[in-house]
Amino acid sequence: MSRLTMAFLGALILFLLGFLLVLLDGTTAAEPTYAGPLTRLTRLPRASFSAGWLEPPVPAYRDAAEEVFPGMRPINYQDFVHAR
Amino acid sequence: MPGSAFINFLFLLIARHRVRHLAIFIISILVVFLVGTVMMVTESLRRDMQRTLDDQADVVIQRIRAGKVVDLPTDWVYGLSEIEGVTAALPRVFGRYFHEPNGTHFLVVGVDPFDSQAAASLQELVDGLDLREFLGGDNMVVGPAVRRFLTENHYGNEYIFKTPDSRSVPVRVLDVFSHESGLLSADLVVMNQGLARRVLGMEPEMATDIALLVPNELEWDGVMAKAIARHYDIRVVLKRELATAYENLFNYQGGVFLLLYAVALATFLLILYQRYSMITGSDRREIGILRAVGWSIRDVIALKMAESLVVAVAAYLAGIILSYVYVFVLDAPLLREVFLGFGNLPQDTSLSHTLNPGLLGLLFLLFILPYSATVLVPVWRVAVVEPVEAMK
Repeated sequence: MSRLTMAFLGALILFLLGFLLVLLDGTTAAEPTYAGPLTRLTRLPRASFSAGWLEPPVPAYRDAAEEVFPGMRPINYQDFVHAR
Repeated sequence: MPGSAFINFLFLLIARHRVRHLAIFIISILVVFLVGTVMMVTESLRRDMQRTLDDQADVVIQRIRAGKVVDLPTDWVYGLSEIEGVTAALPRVFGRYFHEPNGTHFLVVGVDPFDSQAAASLQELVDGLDLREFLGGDNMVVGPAVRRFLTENHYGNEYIFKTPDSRSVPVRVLDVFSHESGLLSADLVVMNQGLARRVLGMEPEMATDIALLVPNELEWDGVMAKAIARHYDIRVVLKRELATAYENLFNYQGGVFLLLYAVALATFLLILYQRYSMITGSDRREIGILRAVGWSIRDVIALKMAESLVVAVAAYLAGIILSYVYVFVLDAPLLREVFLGFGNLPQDTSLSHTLNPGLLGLLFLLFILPYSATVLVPVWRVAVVEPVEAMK
């Protein structure tokens, strides 16, 4: 094999090794231990409001339900669960 | 199996066309990086959410009046805990406390002094916490973002809450939740239930809602029906509805990015098609010589496909490695704010390391298959050129 081929194969093997390391680290990393105790303490689904998964990434998406019906819950499918 | 001569010639070709391949390599890395980071952040948050779901209340009872969630009496727990299948009924006291000058919210959660599971969890989370001292006085344990907020605003170890009935309640910061738990505890303020009621302006024998533990999932609907039969003005939330809501939410956020990926990928494939369709005179001569020395059309296509696939696979591997470093080593700057929100207290928590090999496989297929399909047609058009025509 030529030196050029060896250089290319070496680079490809390095990429592959890096990928395997990432895969190994990602699949065998220790799970965080805080989630269970924190949830048993608060019994709340999402304790932190700062971690706003419900906060829309685009502000314009925010609906105006709170402004239109001040302090009221917008009607959603949970109301039909209640009605059941 | 291609021989070493084929491989030598393949890499020689790649080196010869290095400018063209380098441009495609860099754009390919960017495309894989874009979707790889979104997949990793979403997967990490989804896993964290699923971990919390295991310890969630199975059924939550809320009281609804005039379309609003209102406090309910704690003595409801006696009736609700008698329902068959319910192993525990726990009144929850929690609410948002608004700090007006900065426009930020704390999440105030009251801990029942008689809830042994909650006490054990608190002890597990905060090393060396004196529970007797914590529950006995006006003390609180706060999340890392709250601690930083208090320090930055010179509050020290005491914060004075203003209650809705215009009283001041000074509360001492006894300890802080760990930085690692910031995803769930950033703006959390935990105190005993009596103190939480005072801070939130609740009546002494009232609770925000009631959490029911029902280990057998098959009994959830029955418990819900019996709870509604006892109290007509309630809303019942089941754990599986919560799980569905989270799933939909992540699918929505991830979906927006995947849509962007689809657009970026389509544009990239168009560029790729154009790039491989441009046959230069030297390309034609190269193919012509190969055909003249006895290479079949199939051999030429195999060579050209291998040339582009080496670049694509290398770009895929490099893109995934870069995504992983960006998300889990650098903690996904910018992208993390998009997923975690930036409206309330700023947080600098780390995402938990997790990787789904299935998603990586899916990304490989979503990238390599369209890539190969796009390259195949121009390569075939080059390969079928007659040797005599090519060398003219």
